[in-house]
Amino acid sequence: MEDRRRGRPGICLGLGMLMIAFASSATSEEETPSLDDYSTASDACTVPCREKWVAKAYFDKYGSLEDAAFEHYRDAELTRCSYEMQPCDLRDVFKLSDLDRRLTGDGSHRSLFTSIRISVDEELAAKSPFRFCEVVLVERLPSGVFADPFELQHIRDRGVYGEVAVLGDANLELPSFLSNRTLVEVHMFFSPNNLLEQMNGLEIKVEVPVHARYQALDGSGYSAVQFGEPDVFARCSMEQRSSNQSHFFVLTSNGAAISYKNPIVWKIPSGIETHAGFVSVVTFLSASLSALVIIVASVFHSGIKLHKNVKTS
Amino acid sequence: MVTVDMRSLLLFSAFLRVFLIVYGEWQDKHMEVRYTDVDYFVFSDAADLMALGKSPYERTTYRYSPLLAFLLLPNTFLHRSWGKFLFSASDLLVGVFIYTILKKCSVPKNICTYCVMAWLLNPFTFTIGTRGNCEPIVCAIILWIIICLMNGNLLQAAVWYGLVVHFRIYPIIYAPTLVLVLNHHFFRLGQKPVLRIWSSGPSKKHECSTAATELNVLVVIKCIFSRERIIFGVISAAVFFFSTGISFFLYKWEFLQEALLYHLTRTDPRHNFSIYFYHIYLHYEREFSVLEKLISFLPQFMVQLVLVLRFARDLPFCLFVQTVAFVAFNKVITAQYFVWFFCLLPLILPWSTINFKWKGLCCIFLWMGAQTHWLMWGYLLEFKGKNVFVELWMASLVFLAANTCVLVVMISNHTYSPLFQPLKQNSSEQGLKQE
Repeated sequence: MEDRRRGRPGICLGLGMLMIAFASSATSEEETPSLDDYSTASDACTVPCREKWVAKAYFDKYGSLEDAAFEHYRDAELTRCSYEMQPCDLRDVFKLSDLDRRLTGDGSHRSLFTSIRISVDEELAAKSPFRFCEVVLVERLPSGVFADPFELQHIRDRGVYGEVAVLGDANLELPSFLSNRTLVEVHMFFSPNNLLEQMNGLEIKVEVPVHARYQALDGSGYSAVQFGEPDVFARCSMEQRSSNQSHFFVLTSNGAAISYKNPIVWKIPSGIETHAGFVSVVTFLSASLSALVIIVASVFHSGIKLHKNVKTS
Repeated sequence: MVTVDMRSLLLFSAFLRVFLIVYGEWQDKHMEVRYTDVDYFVFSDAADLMALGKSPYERTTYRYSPLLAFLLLPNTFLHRSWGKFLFSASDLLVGVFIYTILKKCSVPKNICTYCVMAWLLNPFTFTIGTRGNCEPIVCAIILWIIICLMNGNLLQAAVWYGLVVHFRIYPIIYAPTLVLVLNHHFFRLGQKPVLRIWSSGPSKKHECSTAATELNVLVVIKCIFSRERIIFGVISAAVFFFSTGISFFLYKWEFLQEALLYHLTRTDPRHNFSIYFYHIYLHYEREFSVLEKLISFLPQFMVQLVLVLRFARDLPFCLFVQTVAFVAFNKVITAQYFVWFFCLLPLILPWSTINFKWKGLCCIFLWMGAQTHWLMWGYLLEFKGKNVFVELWMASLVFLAANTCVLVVMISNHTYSPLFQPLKQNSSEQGLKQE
């Protein structure tokens, strides 16, 4: 497990050097590395355009999930993959036309439901040599929420997802204050040819079961956990599910940002710090009293009580 | 009174379990809430990994002996439900063992059958096995150890005891009881012990110490460190360390951490039946002091000590009360732990003076009511997202009170009856005593 308190073990050498160089600077700077730091780190690493899992290279480099680091990785490194596309730029063919998401269910076990609509430029699509595509949805789960990789694997086995992986903190039992963040990467396959036949483009719905960790103590009794925006990528290839001859790109929405209809906030119950003293005292008194009652009953058990069916010799 | 044939009871129980396994498969496929226990998926995933030549501990939350994943290998090769059939077969075996133990004590056939029914027709136990929980295997082994001792088969009892402690750790609490029951005056290697008879009265105390005080210190030491006790201790320890050693050789520190150390040091801040859960959650951000750890361990330790010293010779009863108390005072309590003492309950019922129509029913309703009350708050917290930590913790206190109350009623209404009666002393020993 990658313990947050132990730092990020997998961080690239460049970032490490940079951190040492700035060790004498303010604490806040140490905790939140600047984008320049991430640039230095990324220079030492290769661009993961051919990797099956988009986020794997990120975790190999940075160790744990942080929004600023991941956004830098996405903008500075993953977008480079788009420039490799020649002669046809798929970013002009496929556009993200709508993205809606919501959290369904009650309690500690819920589902993060995301609906993606992709529009297609018919003219450009007809010229494209690519026949097999996949949408890659990357959910950066907030601190205090996790996804169970084995549960998602069972859902994938039922054919609900194309592929699915959970990266980041694999310990499902730790409370939020002792765990790192989790990232879910879902791949959904589609055929550009089928997309052309649909008038409103392609709608892809992804439901990811998510679970609440125990939260840090809070005076109000609830911790508000907010979900950020998902990252949507696409990959197309001439051969089915092949990383060779495939092109990976960030799905954009024609330059205009998709507006999220419902910002998702999950209020998770948390322990109340002021209960600590009272709960401890009553807990230990109850345990002691119960133990005493059992001990007294055992010691004073006569041992000669006769059953109604017992005959005396 | 309606008489039920043991064979018909077993047959009906087997059909019921097969039906539930098949139904479970259907529910898993068609309903949102699955019938299968989440742990069964963990075991199956671990078995899949083992079949691929990988470590079962690559499956997060697999915290059992590799033996369990090995037993479930047919889940990968044969059918996913293999484990459920295995656990349910163990569950039926427990029924057979209960019958065997009671028959050996000359309990009338109809009472034996009713006691077996208390296990086989208990909704809690038949759902445990069919949902894919491994506890029935542990229960069957524990009862088999009792049968081995009743047959005078010390070596086999020691082997199984070493194995079951490796498999599930918690039976380690039975070690002092088993050692105490192997008193030289009641149990000797190569000699069939004289068993208690249900219709006979409770025997007079014949403790090792009282017999030994008449002789010298050497005899006292010989009595305490009897050959039977040493053999049992050495063999069971050897089997435990051998199984643990093999597992360590195969899976290194992963095994030691997940299957052994985790259970010994487990403190779970998430809600469970234990009274300690909220206290642990509220203090989880800091390390517990040694004093705090000692204070929380003391009630559990003291109760175990007194129960063992007081009831060890009435082996099934002692194991039962020990298990109830151990679970009630544990830092983590889940519903599957209740099976640990459910399998021992039928063994003590014939020696109980409880009026089952009134006091017995009251005890059942009290225990079930306290559990249902806890489950209601647990549901509001886990499935409705309400902050009811305090209410849930108070429900845990009520559940502890219910456990204590039931335990006290069981103890005060029990006819103390040592499992083994004094052996006939041979002529050489009698001669030594006369000197």
